Amino acid sequence: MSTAVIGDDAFAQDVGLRRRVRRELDDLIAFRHLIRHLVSTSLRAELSSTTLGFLWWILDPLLLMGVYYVFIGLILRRGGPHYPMFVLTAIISWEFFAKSVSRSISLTLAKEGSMRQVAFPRSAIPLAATITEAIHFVFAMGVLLILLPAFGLTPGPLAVLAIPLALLELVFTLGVSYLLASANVFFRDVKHLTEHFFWLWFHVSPSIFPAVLFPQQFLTIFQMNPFATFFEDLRSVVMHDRLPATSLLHLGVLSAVSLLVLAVGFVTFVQGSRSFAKVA
Amino acid sequence: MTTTPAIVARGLGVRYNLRLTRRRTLRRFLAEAWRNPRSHSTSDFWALRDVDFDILSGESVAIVGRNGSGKSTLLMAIAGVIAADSGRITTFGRRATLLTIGAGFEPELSGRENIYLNGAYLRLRPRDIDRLLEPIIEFSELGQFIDAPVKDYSTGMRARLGFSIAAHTNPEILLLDEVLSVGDTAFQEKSRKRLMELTGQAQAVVVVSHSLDFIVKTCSRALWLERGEVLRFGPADEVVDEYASAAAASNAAAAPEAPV
Amino acid sequence: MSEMALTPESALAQQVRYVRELAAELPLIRYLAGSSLRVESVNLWFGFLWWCLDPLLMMLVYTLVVSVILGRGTPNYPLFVMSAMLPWNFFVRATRNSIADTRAKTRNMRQVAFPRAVVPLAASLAELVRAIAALGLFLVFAIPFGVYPSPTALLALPLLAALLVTTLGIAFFLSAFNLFVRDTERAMGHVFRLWMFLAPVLYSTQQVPARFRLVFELNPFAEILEGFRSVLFLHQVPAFWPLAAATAGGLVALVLGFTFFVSTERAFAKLA
Repeated sequence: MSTAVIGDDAFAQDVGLRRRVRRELDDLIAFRHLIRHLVSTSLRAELSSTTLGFLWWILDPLLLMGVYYVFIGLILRRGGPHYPMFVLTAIISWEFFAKSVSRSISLTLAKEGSMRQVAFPRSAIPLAATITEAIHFVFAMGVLLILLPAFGLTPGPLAVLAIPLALLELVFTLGVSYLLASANVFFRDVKHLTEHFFWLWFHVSPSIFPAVLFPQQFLTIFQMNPFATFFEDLRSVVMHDRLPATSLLHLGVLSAVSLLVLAVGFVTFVQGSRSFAKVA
Repeated sequence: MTTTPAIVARGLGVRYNLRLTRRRTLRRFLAEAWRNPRSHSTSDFWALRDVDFDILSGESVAIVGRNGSGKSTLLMAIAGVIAADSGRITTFGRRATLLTIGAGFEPELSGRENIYLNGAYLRLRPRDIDRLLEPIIEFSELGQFIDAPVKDYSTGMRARLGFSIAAHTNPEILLLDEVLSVGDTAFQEKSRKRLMELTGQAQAVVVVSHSLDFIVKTCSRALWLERGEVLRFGPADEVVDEYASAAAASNAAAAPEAPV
Repeated sequence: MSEMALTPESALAQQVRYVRELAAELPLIRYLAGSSLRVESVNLWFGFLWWCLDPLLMMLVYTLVVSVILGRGTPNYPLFVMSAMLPWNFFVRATRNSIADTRAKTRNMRQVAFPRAVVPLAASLAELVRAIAALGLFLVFAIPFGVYPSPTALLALPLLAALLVTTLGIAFFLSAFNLFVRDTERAMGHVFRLWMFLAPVLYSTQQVPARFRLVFELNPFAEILEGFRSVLFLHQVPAFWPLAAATAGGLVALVLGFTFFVSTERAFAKLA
């Protein structure tokens, strides 16, 4: 069929999936400066659009925590010990996930123009969005650690286990971001539906109430929620300087699932990105 | 001019799945899929079909055709911005640069910052851009406005900056989609000259333009696209002639009868 | 829009002229409201259901959290919540959309001259339509739960008027304020959430610990929300005077908010 000589430098398009994924990964490294630019542009836009600027990075989780403290702690009087920090830990962890997905969706949409004109690895976009939120996460966790003593809790050496937990959450988050960002390019209501579903998800996770309060008959489903693990384990290591109660087996399964989600999400995105520029 | 290929297309086809690219919401998509699950084939539209050509190194080729004939789609396919659905398209050397006005400009950032951003999109490292910064600013004639946010630029200023960036990043394959009519006459003249230089340096240049004059002056060959298929690919002056007369003929046929 | 008055007008005359211009723009208001409603409807039935998605989801989640998990619910809790959640949702969405649309349209419509008050009015009108549809659906779906619609439900209409008036006052004020302090929009998410927890939406004022009761009573929406719950769920006619006072308060809010909006409108075009 083809009579042209395809040399090593040829950029052919009809390659198989594995090569395409590998090429995308190579491109991500080659375009690392673009990723850096996307992150700094996101952060800069944030800072310039509000009066309080970066203070919102900690105000958002703090205010949310305050509101739930009033609601559940004061009015319903069903808060537990150290309730403010209990909630804040979960909020910081959750916002990293939810905002990464949300930002990935928005940023992918915002860069449609660029995608129509320049060939760059589209997967750089959700990656940049997630990195932006990771920066917010680290900042908020820093403030959390500073606040803990004020509530009678002293962080200890085991708090460092928060890092592998956060990395695991990052893997899961990235996968979901890739999946939903690509879906939203073709179906614009994915963003809206996602926000509603995530809001529900937050409230059925042990975020504002401890896991023990959850109805016992749904325990298995409850434990399949990755955030049940993320929230409770994060609290153990950061607030109480205790080893997480989750078994290593459970953590292993969660890791495998997260990696699977990332793989599926990434591949779906790469495949879908071939048609992003076709969307009217 | 050598005979090594720069861009090769074999049986290239690009299909638009109207269900995916137009339906816009998941709800509507599900509703339609529920109502007629089988109309898969009728919801597809081939923007390019069975396109074959060899563009050689050192050539500049024009693409002509009516609106909707697939010209922009072909450029996007060459640039790697969309993927081929059948056949293949191969570019030799680094990827092609599609030159359009203000590609990827962030309105909140200054012109200078956008130069770096644009360079990042083209896979350039910051120190490469450092070297090119002054020539780019000078060519764009933006002066002190280079440090003002792009959202305050006029369309002309944006075009000048966009063209200046692309003109200095030495693309190996240059793709132009109807860009040269912006800016005042002096700038257009300057851009035309720069374009000629680039054509000499680049491996290949592909131009989409409605200015048949410009095409005959700058391109050696022309490709005539009609409804996604190649009608002719040959010497620029011949193809342009045929295209022009065909266009005139169809206009005459469509013209209303003179009032009595 | 008439040309700028060259002779100094009294503030009152200015307001009157403004309101007259606004009345002339009724078709535009209807158009803007209609287009925002139309965007969401694939077909009429589906559209209605979609409008209820927000309050339905909130009812579901809060029933789960408050009643099931925390054990603080009351009989027929879903309906208890929903009867007040629907009007509350109207307020939140109308205000949020007013703020967002005023900000967006101020930037995009700099070339066109029209009384900007059109924007919050259109946003509120669209939400009013949604709220009425949702209330209708509520009455229908309450039947399987043993709550039959009664004539008291008709009192929902004057309650809606009181709700609308208060909402507009707050919406006008915040829409204008947001153009000066851009963080307002960002903070409103938290403010609305807290406000809802300090309102008789998820619980009645009597259930709340004594020290919070004052805060509840100061909430301009407390009477109106309890009123909705009375007529839609409890089938009782609410007490007249507290509601009348709340409505009067709402009218005051409307006048104040509207005046603030109009008097700062000149500055709009330079901002955003």
